[in-house]
Amino acid sequence: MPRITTPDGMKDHKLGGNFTFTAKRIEHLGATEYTLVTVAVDESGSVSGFMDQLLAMLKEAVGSCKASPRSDNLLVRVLYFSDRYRGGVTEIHGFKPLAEIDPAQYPMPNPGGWTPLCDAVYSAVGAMNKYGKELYDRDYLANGIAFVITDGGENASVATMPMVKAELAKSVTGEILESMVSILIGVNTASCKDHLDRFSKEAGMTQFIDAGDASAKTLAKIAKFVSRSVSSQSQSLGTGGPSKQIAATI
Amino acid sequence: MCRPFFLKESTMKFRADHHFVIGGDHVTYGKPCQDHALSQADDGMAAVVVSDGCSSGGETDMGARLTTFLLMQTIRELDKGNLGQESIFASRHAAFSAAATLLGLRETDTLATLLYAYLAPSGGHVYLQGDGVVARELRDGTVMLSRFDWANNMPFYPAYADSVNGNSERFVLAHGGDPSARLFTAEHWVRSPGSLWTKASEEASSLQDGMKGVSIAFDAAAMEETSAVAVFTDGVTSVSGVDWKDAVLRLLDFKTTEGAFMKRRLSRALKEFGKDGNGPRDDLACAVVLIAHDKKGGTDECIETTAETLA
Repeated sequence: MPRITTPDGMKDHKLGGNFTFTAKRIEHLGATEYTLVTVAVDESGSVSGFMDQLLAMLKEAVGSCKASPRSDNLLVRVLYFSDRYRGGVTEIHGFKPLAEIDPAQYPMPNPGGWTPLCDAVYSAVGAMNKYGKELYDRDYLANGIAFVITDGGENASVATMPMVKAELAKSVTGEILESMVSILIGVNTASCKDHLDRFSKEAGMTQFIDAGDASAKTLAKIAKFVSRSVSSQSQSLGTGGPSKQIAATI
Repeated sequence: MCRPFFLKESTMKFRADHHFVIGGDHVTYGKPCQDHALSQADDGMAAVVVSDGCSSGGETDMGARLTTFLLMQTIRELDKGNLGQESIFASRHAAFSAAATLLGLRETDTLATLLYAYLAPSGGHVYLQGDGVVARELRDGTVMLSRFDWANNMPFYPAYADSVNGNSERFVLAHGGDPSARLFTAEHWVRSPGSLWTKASEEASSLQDGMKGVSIAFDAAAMEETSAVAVFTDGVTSVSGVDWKDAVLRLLDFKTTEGAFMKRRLSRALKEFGKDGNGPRDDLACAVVLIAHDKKGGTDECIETTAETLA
């Protein structure tokens, strides 16, 4: 009887509220430990002025992770978010090893719609909790780090703030993921900086960073910050806690 | 190569992995981990080996590593296809002496046990000189364990047999001088799915018999019914608060079998033991071969290899 699998060994998973994600089939993972990495990028209409730089940033951020000494222990998921998508997010790819990812193939964002920030955080963290639990149950050690990059505040989500708070709270108990770092990065957010700061605090995210304007230089800095933070969080795996080396600013 | 539909045969796929950890007593007394393990597997064969360096010897962490590396190298260098224990052991013996001399190891540095399994679809064997535990799991879930011990925890090391300095004689003297004294013991246990452990047998052998080592042969039929063979140093019997047989079972309870599956299982088991304040007092090394059997047949199916159930 033929085995039914997705072509690249990925498996579909369901979260609450009709959210879904995909991830590498665990039986195909050979290492003892993994850091789950999620990068969620705002694709609402307001990023149209800098979508080229946004894509370049994403390619650089994920591509740079390949140089990390922990590159074999990273499973990366990339999302775009906009309320044009069902559930507010579209998965560019689910959790998969870096070796199977070609950032050059990432599609150009197609800006439009509003900003479902709760959906983005809920999908990012919820998927890490769910997949992290499966990894834990099968003897793998795992931690996580999520980056949500946005230029605007929440205004269109299906997921509610209590849903987001519950997932974030679950992620830091140490019972599923050894540790979890969630970072909200604001770009071009002069008008909503305070709003995003409040959002991250209310949700229980690890930190909010206001990166500044949406220039190519700023976005290049974000890319470096993401890859450095991923490497650092992965190197902390096994210590029992999150990385203490992640910078507070970009 | 394709075969006609009426020829059904089973293909065997081997996976192997190993891991070793330092024991609590070695941490306490500032000793290195003196156990070591290695594994290898491909389509045609699998081999796993563990070695336990004598804690009152010299630099026996080196002796244990020399034992495992040379055993694996010996198997790689010999032709494949159900190698005999004698050919492996003879080649290993020559290589070991040369390597120990090259490295400038003293005899006390080379005191380390040897326990390995070599498996091919047509058969294989487990060989032990020293002490340790052998586990075999059948396809129906039955697990069989054999535990080998020497009185006073003074095992006969392969280096004694390799020695030209009369160490075999000194070994007998250390055990009281009577080569017929039955000081080498073996106990064999069986556990069927859903039932308790049953002691199948136990025996005590003489020093002179024990010094020859223990060889357990597997023919093709035995390979057909086997799903796993694992070897452990005696550290697996030193887990505080856990019966050694249950410790073995826990270490064979693989959740996934890709990559470093033995390492993942041992690491998690140690964490679970540790929650109750338990853990191995002695160093622990383990290595396992998993055998996947896949019945295939049909005119359009290409058979990959191996043990034919129909001659």
